[in-house]
Amino acid sequence: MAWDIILTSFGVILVLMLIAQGLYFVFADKRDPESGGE
Amino acid sequence: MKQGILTAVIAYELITIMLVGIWVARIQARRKGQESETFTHAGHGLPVPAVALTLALTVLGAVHVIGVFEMTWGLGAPVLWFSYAHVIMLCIITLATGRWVRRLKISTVPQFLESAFGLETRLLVSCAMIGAIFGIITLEAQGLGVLFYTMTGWPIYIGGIVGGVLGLLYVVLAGLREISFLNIINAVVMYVALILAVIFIGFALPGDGYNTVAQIHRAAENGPSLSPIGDVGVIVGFGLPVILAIAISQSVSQMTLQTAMSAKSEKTLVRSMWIAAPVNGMFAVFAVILALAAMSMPEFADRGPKVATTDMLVELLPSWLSALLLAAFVGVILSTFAMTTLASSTLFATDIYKRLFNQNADEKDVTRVTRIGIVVLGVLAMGVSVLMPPILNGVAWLLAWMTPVFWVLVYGLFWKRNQNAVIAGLLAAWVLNSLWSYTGLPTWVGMAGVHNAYVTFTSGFVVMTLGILIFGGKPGLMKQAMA
Repeated sequence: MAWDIILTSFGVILVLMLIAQGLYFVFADKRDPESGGE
Repeated sequence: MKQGILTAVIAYELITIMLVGIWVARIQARRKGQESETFTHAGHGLPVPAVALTLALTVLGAVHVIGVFEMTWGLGAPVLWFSYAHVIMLCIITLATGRWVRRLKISTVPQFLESAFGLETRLLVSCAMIGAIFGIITLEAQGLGVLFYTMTGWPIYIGGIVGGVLGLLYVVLAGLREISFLNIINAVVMYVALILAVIFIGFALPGDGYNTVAQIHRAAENGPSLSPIGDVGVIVGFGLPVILAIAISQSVSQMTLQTAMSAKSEKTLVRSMWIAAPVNGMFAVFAVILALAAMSMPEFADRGPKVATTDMLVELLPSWLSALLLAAFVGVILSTFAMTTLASSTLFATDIYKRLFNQNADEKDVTRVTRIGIVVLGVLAMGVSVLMPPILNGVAWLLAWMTPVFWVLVYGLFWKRNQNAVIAGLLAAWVLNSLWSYTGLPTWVGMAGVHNAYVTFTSGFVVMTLGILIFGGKPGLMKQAMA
């Protein structure tokens, strides 16, 4: 039970982070004025 | 035994806080003149670990520690939507709102609102934000008292006062850099303690450990769900409202964005997501496992949701691990207490003291007023916390105050700016929020059970959008800059 909950929750968190990073790469203005862009 | 645990934990917290606080204060004294806003924004030079763990621990407070144990009783493992909401919020902060405020080079969220809309919007949001954050400080102070009480039997008000004093020391010696360094230590202690607790409880459980816990719950007629996702009913009834309340309100609040403003660069913020989100998100996972274990044992389950899990931890774990776990829980709440007092005092010192009463104030003056604010707000919160209702009752109302500010920020940056429209939207949302909590309005309109955050988010959106569509406005600042 403990492993099921840990692994499933970690999976959900990972998916949420990957979706967020995907949206960031597609939509964000990634110019960083202080480091001259990425 | 409990007295020994209590002494060890308080001594540990005091020694760590004093050593780190004095050390950081000395470092900052040597750097005097080389950086700006040292006390409130760590000289805008925080690296990835400090940003990530400060963000993670700022939004990991009393509700996580005490509330999750209790909420698991009602919802089972799907209570983890509370955690996923925090993960979504941290993604929004590190990849969007945090980067926006970092790029604008502002010290407070309301400071941006003056350049976008006008002084009235700045003051209105600043005052509401100070009030909402102050509410959270009182919840954290009460959380400290309840935690000490459940794990050691200490009276709640004494625990709240001692915890509050530790919370003040956590920030008042050296400001944000002190908080961030202490958070790095506390994050390590927290995970070591939680993982060891889950392992030790696993060995102490009767039968086949956690497998037996699962069998007991599955066999029970109304047993808790063991799925960390749950069914559609749970997602709609609990998951979505909690995402809206937490992800939207906290992603525009000074208490989270002050750390983002203090990051070394935008890249620092983007990278910190990979640490902040899992560190925050996984905390409740371990808490839920421990609560499910306590629920499966009649000798603890009979004591009720408020104390069963903590009683199980104190009675089944060795003393040294109980002490480590209490230290971890106290550290988690202290970090939130410290960051919220710093954020609300920064708002007062920057948006009210400096903007209205002393525009020539230098950094030394602002730091002095911030320090005084920290002590005054912290002491007031300790006093109020003794008179407050149970922690969870206040959270829905408090969080809902900040949800309409999300639209103010987004419209001011990316769409149109009309001060009258946003003020009307804010006031409509705030009045409705209070009516929703303190009158029979929800029942009267047939919407009992609808979360406050839905009401404030929607009413703010409708009034501001209609106001701007009808009366127009100047282009948003980012839109203007990109044109």
